[in-house]
Amino acid sequence: MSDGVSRADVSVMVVDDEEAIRELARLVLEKAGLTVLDEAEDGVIALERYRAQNPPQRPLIVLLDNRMPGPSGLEVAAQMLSDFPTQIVVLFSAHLDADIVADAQRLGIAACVPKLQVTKLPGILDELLKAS
Amino acid sequence: MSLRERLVPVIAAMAVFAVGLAVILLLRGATDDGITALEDAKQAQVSTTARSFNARVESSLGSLGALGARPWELTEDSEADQSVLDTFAVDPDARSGSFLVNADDTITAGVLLQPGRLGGQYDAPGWAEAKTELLSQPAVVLPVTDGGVTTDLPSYAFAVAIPGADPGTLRGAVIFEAALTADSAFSQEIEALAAGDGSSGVWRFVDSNGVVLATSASSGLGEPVSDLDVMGLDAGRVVTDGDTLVFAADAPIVGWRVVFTQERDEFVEPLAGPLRVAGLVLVLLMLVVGLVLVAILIRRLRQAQEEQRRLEELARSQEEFISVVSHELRTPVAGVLGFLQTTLDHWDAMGEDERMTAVRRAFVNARRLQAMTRDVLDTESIEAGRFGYTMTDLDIVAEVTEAVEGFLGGAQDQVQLELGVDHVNVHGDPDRLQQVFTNLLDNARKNAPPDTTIRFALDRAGDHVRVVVEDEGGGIDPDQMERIFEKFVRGRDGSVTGTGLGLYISRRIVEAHGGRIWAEGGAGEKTRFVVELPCQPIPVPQA
Repeated sequence: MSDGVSRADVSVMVVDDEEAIRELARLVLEKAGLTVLDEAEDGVIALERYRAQNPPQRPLIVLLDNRMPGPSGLEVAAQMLSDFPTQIVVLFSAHLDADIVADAQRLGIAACVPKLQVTKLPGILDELLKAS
Repeated sequence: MSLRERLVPVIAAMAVFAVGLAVILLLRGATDDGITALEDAKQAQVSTTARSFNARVESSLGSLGALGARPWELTEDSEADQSVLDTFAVDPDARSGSFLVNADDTITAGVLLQPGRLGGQYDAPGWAEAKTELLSQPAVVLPVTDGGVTTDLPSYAFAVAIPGADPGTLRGAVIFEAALTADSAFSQEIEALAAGDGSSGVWRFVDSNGVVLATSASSGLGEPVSDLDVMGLDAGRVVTDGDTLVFAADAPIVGWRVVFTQERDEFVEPLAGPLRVAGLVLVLLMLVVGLVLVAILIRRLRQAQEEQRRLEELARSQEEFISVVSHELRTPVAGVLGFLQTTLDHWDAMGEDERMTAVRRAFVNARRLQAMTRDVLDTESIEAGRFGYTMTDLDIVAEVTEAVEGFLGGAQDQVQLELGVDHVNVHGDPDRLQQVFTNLLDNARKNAPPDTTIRFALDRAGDHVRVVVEDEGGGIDPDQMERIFEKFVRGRDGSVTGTGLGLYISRRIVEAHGGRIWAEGGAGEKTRFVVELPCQPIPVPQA
């Protein structure tokens, strides 16, 4: 990790309606040395808990599934970025087409990662933090 | 409907209209030709009548001329003269007759003379002019008068010259006088030509002054034709006078004219009537045929549109199939690969329990992947009509028990199995039926809150066996009760993930077994899926 930020200091919030994916993300991130701060199974809960955590502790990165019951990942990202424009949000979805990626860029989402590339998440997050 | 498709029935209707119009025009042309032929025929009849009349008058005048050549003894008592005159008395009942006039216009002898006229002067209108003409021609026709020498009735007369000894002199004349009566020879002849009662057609003989000598009408004898300039008409041609058709032909020997008049509508009716009816029938027929054709065309168009919609629906359905399947497969694939890759990458750093958990997670995702793959392949087989069954006699209780045991993999799975009977024989495919029960259990697990119990009950209901799978999933909206059995409909509120094929396939399987599957329980209630399958009867114990 560059700039003196160790991976252990990188806190991540994982939002996905599938328990297996939340577990997988947690496993991958934690094994890479990152900290999974919190999890949420849909957008409404995610926003509630995200706002409740700020302060005392706001996740450095929010990993957002797109297709979920209730508000979509893009809608949740719009809310979070409206409240905190500097928040790093990563869209982590099984289905990323050109429209979704374009919408994500327009909203200011930092990256779009397909679920099939879950094991590359730590490296991608490193790059994002380096860039920021 | 596109503009082009809209235009097709419009063009067809216009074509029918155009053909109908063409038929009407053809019929109208045929009617006009027919009417012209009718007019020509009538004109020919009038001309023939006039020629015949002319010939007879000419012949009569010739005879009278010969009479004039006799050396008349103008004496009252001459029996010879009297007998000749008797010969020419043509109409005793009408008191028309003949008489002799000498050069001094004295009536010297006659037949049917009115009292006091013998020896009197003959001074009929036109007689002075007639005498001059008689110097150069054998006979002259005198105009109609109100009364004559032999009759009080209106009459006309022929005067035949009796030449003098010297050329260019006149000894006297024989006057042949005929009353204008309805039973005169002319009148009877003209009556024979008339069509009969009720017709507006009138035949007339008129003299050179336009006075009626004979007519098929009931009145007008001896009077000028009041509503028609008869002598001003062109003879030999059909003339239309207002609504009346006039046919005229001349008898030149006496300057008379044969005239036939009839109202045009009545004249053309025998031809135009049937043609009009035929035209009407044809047009109606064409209208009916045209309407039927247009209706058929519109129906075909609608069928084609329906087919197009069906094909578009199919194409959409296929696109949706690919979209849903490709999306839904990624999550379990990511699960399998992610858990295994991470375990391999961090094998040494992970404890045995951690590795076991990760591998189990990978396995659960692989099973999910397998189930999805099977659903996709089954759906493809159903769509293609290749979904096969291996039917056998089986114990449905055993199949249900096996399905429930196979399902109970997760720690949180709680199934309350209620078996109302020990054995029920059903004719079916055991694998397919287990697939249905597993689908229903999966469906309950996905939709019900975690840590709630799924009730799985089986009992016999007459000649059916009924399986009920009940969960705490909060019910289904009434308008979704049927929709959830359609392809790609996922979750009772559309929120749950999956291919949305499980219930669709389940219904196909149950129906292939002669059974039924449906959902019960409105919003906020427990959700029940009921499967009803026909079963074999309970054997009657032998005494």
